[in-house]
This record gives sequence, C-alpha cells and structure tokens, in this order.
Amino acid sequence: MIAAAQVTYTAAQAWSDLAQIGPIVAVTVALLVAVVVDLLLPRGLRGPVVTVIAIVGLVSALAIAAYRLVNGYGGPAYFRFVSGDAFALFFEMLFALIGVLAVIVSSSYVRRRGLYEAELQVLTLAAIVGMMSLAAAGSLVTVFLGLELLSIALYVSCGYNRIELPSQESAAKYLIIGGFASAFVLYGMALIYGATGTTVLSDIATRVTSDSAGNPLLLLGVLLMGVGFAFKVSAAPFHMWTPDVYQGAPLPVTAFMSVATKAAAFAMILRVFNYGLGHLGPEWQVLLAFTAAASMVVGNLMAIVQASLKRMLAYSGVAHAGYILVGVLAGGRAGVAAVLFYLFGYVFMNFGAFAVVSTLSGPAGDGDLYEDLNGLAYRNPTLGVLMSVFMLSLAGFPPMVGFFGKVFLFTAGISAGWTWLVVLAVLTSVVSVYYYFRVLFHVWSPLPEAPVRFAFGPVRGPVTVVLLAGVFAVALGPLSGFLLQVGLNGAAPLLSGR
Amino acid sequence: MQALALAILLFPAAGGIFLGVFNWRGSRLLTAMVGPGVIWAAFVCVLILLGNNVDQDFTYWTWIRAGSFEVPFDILIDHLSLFMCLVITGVGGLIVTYAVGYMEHETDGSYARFFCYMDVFVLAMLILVLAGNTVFLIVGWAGVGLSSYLLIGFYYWRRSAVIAARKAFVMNVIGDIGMILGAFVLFVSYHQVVYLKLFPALPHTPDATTELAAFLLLVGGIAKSAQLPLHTWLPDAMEGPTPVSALIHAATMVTAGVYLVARFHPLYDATIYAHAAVAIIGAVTALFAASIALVQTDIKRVLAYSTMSQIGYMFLAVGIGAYSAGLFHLLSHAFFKALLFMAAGNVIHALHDDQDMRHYGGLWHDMRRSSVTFLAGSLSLAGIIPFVGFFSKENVLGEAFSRGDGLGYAVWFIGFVTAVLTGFYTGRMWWFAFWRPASEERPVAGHLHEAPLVMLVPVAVLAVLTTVGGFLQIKAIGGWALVDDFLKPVLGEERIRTNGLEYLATVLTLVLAALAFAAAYNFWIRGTWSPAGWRARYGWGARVLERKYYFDELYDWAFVRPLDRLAGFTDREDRSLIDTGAVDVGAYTERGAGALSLTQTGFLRSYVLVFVAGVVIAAVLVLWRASS
Amino acid sequence: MLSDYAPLAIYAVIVLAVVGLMLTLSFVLAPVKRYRSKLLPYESGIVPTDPARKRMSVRFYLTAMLFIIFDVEAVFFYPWAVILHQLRWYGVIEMFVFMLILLVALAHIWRKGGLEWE
Repeated sequence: MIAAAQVTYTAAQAWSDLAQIGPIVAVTVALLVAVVVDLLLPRGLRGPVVTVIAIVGLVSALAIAAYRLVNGYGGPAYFRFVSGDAFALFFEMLFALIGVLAVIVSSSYVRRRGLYEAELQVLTLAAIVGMMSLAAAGSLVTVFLGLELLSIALYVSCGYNRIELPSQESAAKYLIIGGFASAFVLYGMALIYGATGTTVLSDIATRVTSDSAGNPLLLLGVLLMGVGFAFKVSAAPFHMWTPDVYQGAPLPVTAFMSVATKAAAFAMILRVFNYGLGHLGPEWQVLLAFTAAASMVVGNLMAIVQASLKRMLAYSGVAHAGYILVGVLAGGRAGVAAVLFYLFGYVFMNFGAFAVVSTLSGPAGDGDLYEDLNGLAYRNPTLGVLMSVFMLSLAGFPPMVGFFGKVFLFTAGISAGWTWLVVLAVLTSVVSVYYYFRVLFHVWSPLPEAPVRFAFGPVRGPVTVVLLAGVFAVALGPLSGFLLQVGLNGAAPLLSGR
Repeated sequence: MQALALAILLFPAAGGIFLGVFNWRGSRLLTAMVGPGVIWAAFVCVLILLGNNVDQDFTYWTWIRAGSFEVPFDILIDHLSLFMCLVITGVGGLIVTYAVGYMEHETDGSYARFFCYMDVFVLAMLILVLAGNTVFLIVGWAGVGLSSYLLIGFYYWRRSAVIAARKAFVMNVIGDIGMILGAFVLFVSYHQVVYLKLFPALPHTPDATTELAAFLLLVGGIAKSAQLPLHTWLPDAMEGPTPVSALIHAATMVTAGVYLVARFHPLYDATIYAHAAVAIIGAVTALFAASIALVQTDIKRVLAYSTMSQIGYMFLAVGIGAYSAGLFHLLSHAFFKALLFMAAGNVIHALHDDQDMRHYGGLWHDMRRSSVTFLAGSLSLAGIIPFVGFFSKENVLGEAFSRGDGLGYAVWFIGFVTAVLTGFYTGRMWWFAFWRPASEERPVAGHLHEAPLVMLVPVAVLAVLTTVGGFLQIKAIGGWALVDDFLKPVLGEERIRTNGLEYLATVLTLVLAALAFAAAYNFWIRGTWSPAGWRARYGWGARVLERKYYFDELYDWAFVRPLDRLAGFTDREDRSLIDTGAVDVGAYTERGAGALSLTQTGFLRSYVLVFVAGVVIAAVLVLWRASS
Repeated sequence: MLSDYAPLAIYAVIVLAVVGLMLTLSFVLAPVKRYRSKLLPYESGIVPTDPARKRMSVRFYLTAMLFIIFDVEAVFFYPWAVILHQLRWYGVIEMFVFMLILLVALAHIWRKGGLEWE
C-alpha cells in the first residue's frame, strides 16, 4: 500500500498549495525574520523593530486572507491536510486582527514593566501560526500540530515574567495541565484513526456514519478528544487552570490567550466535531451539553466572588465558553454562523477589557483589583467610557455586539431544540450582570482620596487598541447583519461536505 | 449617486463626531467652520442629486435579518425627500451659520457642544426624511427627539431648561410609542417595512387595520409637531438658545409630522376617520394656539404659539389631501419663522437675553436692519401679499374651500378665523415690541448694538426668500404652481380651482388679516382702544388664555400627580417586598459561589482531580447516550 | 482487515513468551545470595559516595531538550530521501527551506547562549 503510492506533485500544484496557506506563510515569514533580526540588531533597536515586523506580517496575513475571501478562492491543499476555505480565512483574519492588537498592547506593557520585548512578540507570532493551522486543518495531524504549536508558545509566554513567582506558577500549571489535556486529545485522535483508518477529516466524515455509533473505539475517541477540546476552550469542569493561569501570566498574554485560544479551540471543535464527526452528533453533543451547562453555572457563580479583575474575566470567559457551546451544539448553518459571529464580537469586548486593565500596569506590578479602577472615568474618560462599553457588551446589552451575539446563539439553540440549555444560559447571564456592573460601579465612582496605586505610564498604544476595540464592539451591533453574512459564508465549507 | 446620497448623512455625522470627540475643547475657529460647514456640504450634495434628477431607492446593506424579517439600510431619494432635505440643509445651514455669532459668548466647551448637538440634530432629521423603510424612520424619529432634548436642555445649569427638556422628551416619547406601534401594525399586517414595497401592498378601501395604523402614526406626528393634545412641550422648549428655537421649533423638527402624513399618503388616502382627524386636529390647533398667542408677553413664546398655529395649517392641508399645499406652507413657514426667530434673536442678543416684550420698544429706531427683516417676517406670517406667507396660506385655505364638502368648509372657516387672529397678534408683536418708543424698563440703556454680520447675513437671506419665495407658487392669483409640479411624482395631482367664489374668499381673508394687523396699531400705539380696558371687561377670558386653557394644570392633575402617588406606593412596596427578596436571592447566590470557590484551591493535584472527575461524568454520559 | 495483522499478533505473543520465559527461568534457577556488596548499585565494586537521587543541573535538561528537537526534525529527512526522485527540484528546494528554518532556530539558540554550559 505504501510502496504503491505514486507521488505526482508538480510545481504548479506546489504554488497553489502555498497560496492556500498564504496567511500562515506570511506570519511564519514574519516570525523567522523577527528571530533573525532579534539576533542581529543592536539591543536598543530590537524591540521596536521586531514589533514593527510582527505588525507588518500580521497585516499582510490579514490582507491576503481578506483578498482570498472576497474573491472566493480557497479549497483543499497538501493532499487535504490543510484547507484554505472560507472558514479558515475567517479565522485567519480574526487571528491576524487579534495579533495586531496583542502586539501593540504587549509592546507598551513590556516597556512599562521593564521586560525584554522582542521574544514576546515572536512567541505571539508562533502562537498565531499555530492557531491559523488549527483553523485551516484538514486532518487530525494538522489539528494536533497547530494545537501543540499554539500551546507551547503560550506556555512560554505565560512564564515570560521570569522573575515573578506568579508568572512561573502560571506557566507551570498551564504546562502540566495542558500536557495532560493534549495527551487526551492525542489518544482520542489515535483511536479515531484506528477506527476509521484515516486522519483526513473529509474522509472521516464519509466513513463515519450514524451506524458507527456502536463502535467503542469511536466513542472513546470522541470522549477523549471532547475532554481535551473542552479544556482548551476552558469549559467547566476542565476550567480549573484558567483563573490561576490568567492571573499569573503577563497581562497582554492573558488578553491574547483569553480570546485567541478560545477562538482557535472553537475552530478546532467545529472542524472535528461538527464537520468530521457530524454523524456522531448525539454522542458528542451530550458531552458538550454537559460542559456547556456546567460552564455557565460555574463560570457565572465564581465570577461573583472574585476580587481580581483578571480572575473575574477568567471566570467570565468560562461562562462565555458555555454560551458559545450552545451554538456549537445547535450546529447547522445558523449555529455555526452564530458561533463565528460571537467569537468575532467576543474578541473585541474581552480584549478591550483586558487592554484597559493593562493600562493600569506599572513597574510595580499589574493593577488588577476592582479598587484600582476607582474613578477611572474621571482619570481618563476615554478608557472609562470604553470599559463601560465592554462590560455592557459582555453582559449582553443592546446595542452592543454582545447582545446580537447572544441573540444569534440562543435563537440557533432554540430552533435546534436545546431549549433547556438556552433557558439556563439566559438565567445565568442575568447573574453575570451583577459582576459586570460591579466594574461599572468602580469605574464611575468618585476619584479616590488616597493616591491611586497605579498612575498611567505611556499608554498611547493600549489606548489606541482600546479605542479600536470599542469602536468594533459598538459598531458591530448595528452592522450585525453584515457580520452574520460573513459568518454564514464562513460556515458554508463545514456543511457542504455532508 | 449612491455614494452621494449616503454623503448627505455622512457629512453631519462626521461633523458631530469631530466636534463631540476631537474638538471638545479645541479651536473655536475650527468649530465655527466645521459646525455649519458640514451642513452646507450636505446641502451641496442635495443640490447635485436634485440637478441630476435622481429618483431612486438606494440599498446599501442588510441591516437586520431575523427569520423573514429583513430590514435593509436604504435611502429613498425622491422629490419629497429632496424637498425636505433642501429645507433642512438650506434653512438649517443658515441657522447654524447664524449661531456662530449668536453663541459667541459661550465657553469653548459649550461652543463645541452646541455645534455638535446641532449637527447631530440635522443628521437625525435627515435620517428621518431619507429613510426608505419604517425601521430606519423610527431611528431618525427617536434621534430627533434625543437631540432636541439635548438642545432644549443646553443651558443645563438652569433648572427651568432641564424641566422643559424633560417635558419635551416625555411628550415626544409618547409620540414615538404611537409611531412604533403604527409601524408594527403595518409590518404585522402587510409584512413589509420598505416603503416602496409597503405602499403597493396597502388596500385602497378603508378598513380597521389601516385606520388603526394611520391613527397610531398620527400620534407620533402630533407629538413631534406639537399639535393638540400633545402640544405643551413646545412653548416651554423656548428655554433653548434662539438658534435652536429657529432650527427645531420652527423650520424642521416640528414639521416632521407633516412630512410623516405626506410620506404615508397612500395610507391616509385609504382611510376616512384618521385622515379627517388630521385635518380637524390641525384646524383646532391653529385656532387654539393663535388665541393663546394674543396674550403672551414673551416674544419667543408668541412665536412658539404662532408656530403651533401654522403647523396646524399644514396638518389641515395634508388632512384634506392637499399634500403639496401643506408642504408649500412648510417651506414658506421655514423661511419666515426662522427669519422671525433669528431677527428676534438679534434683539434678544442686544438686550442681554431679555425676552419680555414689555421691556422692548424703540427697536425700529435702534436696530433698523433687524427690524426691517422682522417686519418682512411679520407681514408674511400675517399673510399679506406679496410675501410668501400669503401665497402658501391662501393655497391651504383655497384647497380647503374648494373641497366643497362639510369638512372642507368647516376647516376653512376655522382657518379663516385663525388668519384674522394671526394678523392681530402679529400686529401686536410688531407695534408693541418694535414700533413704540423705548420702554423705561429696557435692560440696556442708550443705543443698542446691531448684530454682527455673521448673524445679519442669514437673516437677510431669509428676508429676501420670504419676500420673493411666494412666487414659486402663485395659485392665489391664478398663476403657476412650481411646488405642486415638483412634488407631483410622489404626491399626485392637486385639485384644480373651480369657481370665482374661492378668489373672493382669498381676498376676504387678506383684507381682514391686514385690517387686524392695522387694528393692533390702535391698541398699542394710538391708544384708541386700551388693552387694559378690554382686560377689565373680559378678565376671565384673558386668564384662560394666559393659563393656556389650563392644559398644564389638567395634565398635572390627570397624569402627573396620580403617577406620583403610584410611584410613591410602588417605591415603598418595592423596598419592603421586592428588594428584600432580591437581596436575599443575591445573598444566597453569593454564599453558594463562596462555597463553590473553595474548590479552587490553587493545588494542581486538586485541579487534576476535578478534571478526572469531569472525564468520568462525561464518560458516563456518553456511554448512556450511546447505549440508549 | 484485522486478520491481516494476525502474524503480527502471533509474533508479539511469541516475543512476550520468550522474554517472560527467560526472566522467569533465571529468577527460578539462579542461586541467590544476598549480602551487602551484592546489593550495592555497582556490582563492579566501586563504592557509591552519594545517594542516587540528587539534583542535576538544569542545563542537562536544556541540552537534552535541544537535542531532541533537532533529532526529531532530522527524522523528516528519511521519508524525504526515499521519494526525492519523484519530488525533483521542488523537493530539494522545500527541504532547503526546512533546513533554513532549522538553521534560524540553531542560530537563535547559539546567540542566546543556549549552548553555553556556564
């Protein structure tokens, strides 16, 4: 069998394959150039130049992805191990966008905290390459490759602030539990491969029919992979690492991780479960429904009692993972499009909130207590107002994007028959209003008498990011029709195969 | 053309954002350039569209999509919306230019704030008239309410201004609700929100649904246009700066109701009762407001009531199906009422914000230029030939008279009486405030400063338009009708005059109104008749008028106080019953969360334990699902 | 199908049986004499000086990690070499790109002092 395979691989095919992964190539090239530049340039120049290279690489990835999406290019490449379809392009654009925001915020943050700049940007780029590969994966092998690439880069990023104990703790916990979860995923993949004889998702989709539900190999594979995926999106009860890791990691890393990893993991779930194992729906749905329900309850309840903004946002992230899982469970065109829509909106509101918190960081540390926000609206009105926008959007108030996102998710959930889950989601989102409004309370409280713990350093970069995120968080509400259209377009490749 | 149509909206939007966000405490010069500049830019866009004779529904993108409910973001450019845009951007541009001078005493922050609000207002108004579907219309409708709230309450440190702003907002929201319900009824019945698809779907014979929808929309129109019985906010809204009064309460916002009826004319044409109600409300308001204007002493309040009265004429016109007559009067009123407000603003500015006419006098002598323009506006308001007010008012009354049925004659008669009253109170305002010798109570002794050029030029432009604008449509003397012809593609043919009796009625109105204007001279200058003597004889009548027919008291007694009592009751109950319950639920939730957070130990081993427990639960669930 | 792998299964069973047999036999048959010198870690007679569980320098791990990374990636050369004649020039260029990436990594480690012991 192996010997008989006659490889015919022409140069034309090679170029077309390379074009299919154009955005990934762009970021990879930027990554390599950045590494070399980091070695060659004088010490003072390294940070800024690497940051610029990273932004150039990400923006060109964004441009390539947008160009290909608009022109409707895209299809399988590299023997269907990768796919440059609309789904992949949607996520590639999303990751490039997050990358730009993250690079800008980190650049300012590391300078204020006195950390080395260049390597953090390189690690961010590496993580983005991993995420893009995940979104473009056409095979379980590619999925695992992307998963590990992004995870390892993030393990290192979490411990980036080497001299601080919490940062080390964060990295160690993430590494150990992450390795644990990766093992689950890998074992699950091996079992699926064992059951189907292929790692290519489109082949799996045709070989696994609803009759194969009795196959214990498949069932175990679904279980193990599902657990690993739930870990990656930080859904309860596989979420325990989230608050500790988020709290200890440097703030821009937390911000990046909270949105990008989540989006990448959802891309993976949609690819593998909704597309590859679509016929095993009832089996993985029961698993995800359990984690969704647990996430909404645990995330929202635990967020109430937190004193640290990072931890609160970590738990809120758990809760949001629960909401998004509703869309995954609903599936179909509407469900997948709702997930894409929500991820896109969630990126801006959550990243924006973290970016606001990141401006409170100084040489002494991160200001992540509620009290540190006191009087923010008067100290810096732009940040104060936009923080309120992000909180309202996270809480799901119209006309912010968060509201529309929830509407789309929940309508998709109801029409797919997940009424009990949607009811739970609505009830728990009511609870969430409490802790989001607590932030508003502190932001709009009068200026504290005592000097604030953290004065503002040079924060022009983060403020730009916050403004950008704020504009998106507000403007995507009225433009929701347009974005949903993009989402529906991105969802199409997952459904056409079946 | 598609981009140009959008640019009409984008210019004021950009101006508002620029002034509100970037130039908040920035350069005054920049503010003075950008504020009016963007409106003139929009005006130019409108002119170009007009020049190219564009008549199209531009759809830009799908705004909302939920199931079968789909709202496009579309801009409807036709002769009606272009006509309204001309008024809004043209007269609006003049007014905002005028404000550059009028608001010069404000602090830098307030200065930018003012022009930001003005641009936002113009934006909202343009959205209202350019909307191609009912949802977008509601956006503009509510936006107008919001920005007028901001502008009326511009002097937010004055309690009365804040209260007036709140009153205007509440009244407008009542209208908004009617409006939204009306649009809802239309959507539920005909499944359309886009005008061009909705109107063909309407039935041609009256039925309960169309009547209901038309009545609900009318509620919105009444509130925005300050017609009975939702009129009480307009006089109080004079708390805003005078350019605001000119822009909002004369030229644009209050005419939204007229536009609404004209835009929905296929709906109103299909109804009987709702359509007649429009005419009756308009006629009654016209008379009602004119009578109150007789006794007001605050010059802006007189103008406010005269506005209500003139809007009443417009409602009367559209109510009897004479849509283009109503819109012609809208145009004419925009000219002369903006003129009157701005000329009065010059005087108020010179007299250090004193608005009491009893303290005026001697203005003809001291402020000749403003006085001349005010006179032009007054004569137009009184309906004296050849000013624009004569032609437009005659047009309305002529249409009513020639209708030849009971409703037509009834509203004509009310309009005729109103015209005479209008002549009288306009005369009173003119002779009493401008002509008579300077009052001893005048706050500024000695010579008054005439307004600067930036305030005089817009006034002068409007004075010229007021004088010659009537020749757009001279049906009164049997001539051409350019406004009718322009609006014909949208609103259809107007009725043709039939007999000479109508011309007689016209002459009668003109003569009596002119006589009333002149008679005021005898009251306040020659003293042939003494106002004091009349007041002594008909004291009760004067009181009723001065208290504005006790409408505020009635509303206070009927709505405000019972609601206050209800609110007090629910407040007490809320504290004792509901709050306690809510607080308890919250406390239990928090306690539960506290207990749950004990699982978050920080030890990796316990995390892995939870992880594994999760795996076990998941495994059980998957097996259960697979086996069932 | 699965029966294709039967020889493999038989082979595995035989391997297990042989190994198990040998271990068991030597355990059963060999004479056992327990005394101190016999139980020491090094039967050659060298006396241990420290306990075996002592801390090692983290640099060992670093070096080992770096070795494994390059080692694993070098494995990719084998399948490539097998089908190189089919891939032609494209394969050659591709492999040079791959090696370039590895070289960048190596240069990075070198310059950052990852290879220095002290």
